[in-house]
Amino acid sequence: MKTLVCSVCEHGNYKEMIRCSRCAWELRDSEFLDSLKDLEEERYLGRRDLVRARWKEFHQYDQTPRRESFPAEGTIIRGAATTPDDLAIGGGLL
Amino acid sequence: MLAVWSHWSKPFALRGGGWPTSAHYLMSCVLSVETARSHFKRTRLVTDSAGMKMLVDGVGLEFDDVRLDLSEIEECDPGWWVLGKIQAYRTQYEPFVHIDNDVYLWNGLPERLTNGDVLAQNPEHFTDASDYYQLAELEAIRRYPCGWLPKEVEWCRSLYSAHQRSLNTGIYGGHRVDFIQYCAELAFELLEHPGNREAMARIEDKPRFAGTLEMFLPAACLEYHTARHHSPFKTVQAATLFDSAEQAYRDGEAKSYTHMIGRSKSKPAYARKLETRVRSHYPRHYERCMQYSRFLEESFDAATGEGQAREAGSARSRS
Repeated sequence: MKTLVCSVCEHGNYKEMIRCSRCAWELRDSEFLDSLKDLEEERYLGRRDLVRARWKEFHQYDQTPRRESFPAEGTIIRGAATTPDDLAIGGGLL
Repeated sequence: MLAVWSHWSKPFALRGGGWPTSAHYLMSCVLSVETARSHFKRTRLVTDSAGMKMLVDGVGLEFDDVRLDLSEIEECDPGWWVLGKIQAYRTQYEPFVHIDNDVYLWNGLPERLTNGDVLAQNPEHFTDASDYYQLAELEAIRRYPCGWLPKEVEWCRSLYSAHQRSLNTGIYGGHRVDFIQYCAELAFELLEHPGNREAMARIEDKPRFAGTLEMFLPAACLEYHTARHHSPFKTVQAATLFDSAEQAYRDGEAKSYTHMIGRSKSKPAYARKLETRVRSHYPRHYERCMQYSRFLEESFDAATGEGQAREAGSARSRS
């Protein structure tokens, strides 16, 4: 049986994919995206490269599968538990 | 380039801007204006009459011009404190950089920023779990029959799901004032749209939406319009001082840039440094900050006392 690979994070071996278990993006299998071309669905058409780039930005340090576990050394997510929000940027200059 | 600062008195009276005392807020204004002043051709304060009285007459800060454009938002709910900044962006008609009152530009800004279409501090990432954005909560608007969300927000949401990007606006501005005004208008429209008013009024913790209104909307507009061939904003590009939030924390000192971001401004260690710096470098301003802070406290005490007296009086009359 043919398996699918998430077109965003390339996590694979899905028999069907409603939501990728790694990146949690919804409905991103390539067949789904290709089918949208026929429908001229603007929000996805030709945008897969943008979505992939965003995925890489969020995971440039962190390759862990769950988005809730972005570590402190990874991409800072503003307002999340990992944000060093009590630390001033360039505070040593003061 | 024109350097712009803004101060909206109404939310400041309620929240104090997150500083330990009003004196610290005033000292931060002094340091922000005085460190940046020599690096820009002109300076402007956008405020209301109470703000002018405090910062110009009270503290003694000098600007090339003072605009009272924030008087126009006097009726707005001060919970949307960020509207003060957005109104300042909306009312600029020439290339400018708005500098937050908690940002200190020790050596100015590089030309790639001051020549940019849009300039900002750094790209910033957030998810639905980020408490400074609350994008998911804002989308409750959709449940109202005539609720409206900008197409730029809908597009970014459908494309990037929970993984969104904004622009930190510790510094914000640029040469494409048409684009900057468009984004600012969009924020006001989002709040004032007849179909949204009920949903917006029901939001209890409005300050938590500041990031969405002020920092996410311009980023969403950039993403949306640069992907459209016929958009008047197709070519608009953003230049940021840092490539990421991590880089801002890592390289802030190397780039001579300080931002007392978020909760850092309430830390006693930073407050002491701020006091020491302003007292030693700007002693005249320091004294006036302390004086005006005492005046504010006395005014507050008097108002509270009068309020208590009024309550006591009305209790007596009820009894």
